[in-house]
Amino acid sequence: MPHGPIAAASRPPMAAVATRRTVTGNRLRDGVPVYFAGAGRWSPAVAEARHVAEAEAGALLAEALAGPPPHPVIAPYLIEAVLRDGRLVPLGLREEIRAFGPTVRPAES
Amino acid sequence: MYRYDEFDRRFLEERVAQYRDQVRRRLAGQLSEDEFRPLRLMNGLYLQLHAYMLRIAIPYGSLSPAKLRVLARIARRYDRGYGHFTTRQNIQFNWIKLEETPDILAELAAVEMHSIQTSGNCIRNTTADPFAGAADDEIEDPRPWCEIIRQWSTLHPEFSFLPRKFKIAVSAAATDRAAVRLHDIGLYLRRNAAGEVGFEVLVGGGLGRTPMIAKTLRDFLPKHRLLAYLEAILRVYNEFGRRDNLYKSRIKILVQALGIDKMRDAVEREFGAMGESALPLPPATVAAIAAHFAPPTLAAPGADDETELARALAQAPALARWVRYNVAPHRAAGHAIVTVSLKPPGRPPGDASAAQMELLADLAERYSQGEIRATYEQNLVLPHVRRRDLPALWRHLGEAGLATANAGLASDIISCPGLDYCSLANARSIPVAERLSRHLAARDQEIGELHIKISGCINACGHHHVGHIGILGVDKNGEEFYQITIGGSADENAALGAIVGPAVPSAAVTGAVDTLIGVYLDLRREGERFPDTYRRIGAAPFKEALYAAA
Repeated sequence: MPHGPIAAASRPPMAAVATRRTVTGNRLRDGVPVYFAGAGRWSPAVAEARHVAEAEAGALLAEALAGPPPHPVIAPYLIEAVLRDGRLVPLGLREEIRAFGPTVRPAES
Repeated sequence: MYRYDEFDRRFLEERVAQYRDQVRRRLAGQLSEDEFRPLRLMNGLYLQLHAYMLRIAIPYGSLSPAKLRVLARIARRYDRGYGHFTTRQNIQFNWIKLEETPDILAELAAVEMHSIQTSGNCIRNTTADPFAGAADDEIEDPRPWCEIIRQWSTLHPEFSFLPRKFKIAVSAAATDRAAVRLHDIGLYLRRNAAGEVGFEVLVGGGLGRTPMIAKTLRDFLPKHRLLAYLEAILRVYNEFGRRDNLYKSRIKILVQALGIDKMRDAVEREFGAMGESALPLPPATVAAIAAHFAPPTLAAPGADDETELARALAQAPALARWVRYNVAPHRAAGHAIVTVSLKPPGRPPGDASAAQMELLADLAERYSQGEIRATYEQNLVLPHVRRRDLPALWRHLGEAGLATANAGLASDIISCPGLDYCSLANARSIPVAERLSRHLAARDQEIGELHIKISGCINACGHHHVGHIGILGVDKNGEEFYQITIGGSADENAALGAIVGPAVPSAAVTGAVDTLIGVYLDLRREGERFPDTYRRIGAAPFKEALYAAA
C-alpha cells in the first residue's frame, strides 16, 4: 500500500471508470474544503458534489462562480473525480487528502 | 525576557484593530481575495488544504508560561486542541477560521505576541540557540542581540518588500544548535585575539531548491556596528537580488553569482558609505535590552543533590536514560538544561496538545525559572532546571507523554507538515516520520546520535538536505516517492547530504533507512556518529547496500 489507507481505499482501476468533473474550493469564512452542490449551495461533503462529464465542466464552473460578492468560496476550480461503488472520489492524492484527510491523527487534546 | 513598552503595546493594539477591519471588509465582499491575501499573509495567515493556518512568531524561540498558556488556549478554543512547533522556532495552528483570527491576534497581543513577518518577503523571526543564557559552552547570551535585530527588522520600511524572504540566526556557543550556517545571514558571537567579543558574519546559506552553506563575510565585526552591517548586507541584496525569477531570488543566489569576494566588496562599500555613526548601538541601549535577559538567580546546589540524583537514577533506568539523552550541562553548578521531546514514537513530530502546553507552563514556573524555549528541531526546552529536581520533573512530564528519552536520537525526527496539511507539498511527511520513529525507537540507544529529517517538497521546511539521513517526498506520476540523502549536517560543521540513488516508494522508506543504518552500525568505529562514518568511508557502501538487490 504505497499511499496508506486513503489512496488504497479510493484509487479505482483507471481504465474501468469514466472521469467526472466537479468544482471545489476553500470556504471563505473558515477555509474548509467545499464542493459545489448546485443551485448556489456548497457542501463540505464531496458526496454531495454535483459532477458532470468533461464537456459540461465549463458550464458547471461558470455556475459555481456566479453570484454577487462576497463569493462564499475562495477561487473555485475544477477537479477530476470518479464514481466508485456509487461514491464520488476525487482523483489525485492532494484532492483525496483535501476531501478525506488528513491521514494522520493529531496530538491528544 | 524582553517586555514590551507602551509603544509596542499600542502598536500591536492598533495593528489588531486594523486587521479586524480588513477581515470584516473581506467577509462583507468589500475586498477581493487578491486584495486581501497580502494583508492576511502580513499577519501570518495562510490558506492550506483543510483550513487557514496561522503561524505565530516566537522570537528567538523564547516563551514565558503566560505566552505558552495563551497558545494552549488558542489551541483549545480556536483550533482542534493542539499546535505544531516548526523548524523556525515558531508555532502553527492548522485549523483556524478566518472570522476568528482577529480575536486570536488580540489574545496574542495581550501577551506580547503576534504573527507579523511570519510570511512575506521580509525579515522573518530571528532564531537562536535554544540553550541561550544557560549553555556551558557559550561566550555570552545571544538573546539581547536577537532582540536588537527583532526591533530593527520589525516593519523596517526599506526591507518590507525584499526580493524574497530573509532569515537570520544567532549563536554564541561552540556547538551550533541554531543551524546558523543555513541562514541568509548567520551570526556567531566570537572572541578575537584581543579578547573582545564580536560577530563572525556569514551570508548566503539556505535550503530549498538550491541548498547552500553560508560563507563568512566578516571574520570579526564589533558588536556596536551590528545593525549598520546588517543594513549594508540587506541593501546590497535589496538592490542586486533577483526579482525576475522566484527560484533565484534568495541572497544565496546573489552570493553564488557574485562570488563571496565581490559580495564582500559590495557590502563593505555600502557599510563604509554609511559612516561610523550609522545605526549606532550605544552601550547604554544595549545594556538596557540586555537587562531584560539578566540571568536568573539560581540557588547553589545542596550538598546531597548529586547523591540523591544518583540514587534516583540507579532506581529508575528509564529516568537514567532520559537524563542521558535529554539533559545537557548548564553553566551554573547544580543545574541542567532539559529537552522536552515532542517526538513520541509513532506520533506527528512537533505537535503539542493544549493540555501538554499548559502542563509545561506550570512545570516551567515550578522547575525552570519561568522559561521555555522552542527548538528548530521541533522540541521544547526547560533551560534552568535544578539537577535534584530532575526525577520529579521527569515524572510530571511522563504523566503527560512528554518524557520520551530520544533527544538527538534516530526517533527524534524533524518533519514538515507535508501533504497532510500543506498546499505546497508533493508528498506526505508525517506518516513517514511516524512509521520511522515507531520502528526505530527501540534501537535508539544502539544507533546513538542520528538526525533524520523529512520534507514533503523541495522547499525543504523539514531540512532534509542537512539530515544525517534526509528524506524528500516527490511526486512521480501521481505516486509518492522519497529521495534519500546521506551525510548532511546542520551543526557547526554544516554539510549538504548527497543523494544515494533513485527515489524509493513510500512503503520502502523504512526498509531503506534500516539498510543505511545497518551499514553505519557495521562499519562505524568507536565514537563515530553517522556523518563521521559517512565522511570516512564515502557513499559507496551505503549505495551498494541500498541498491544491490535492485
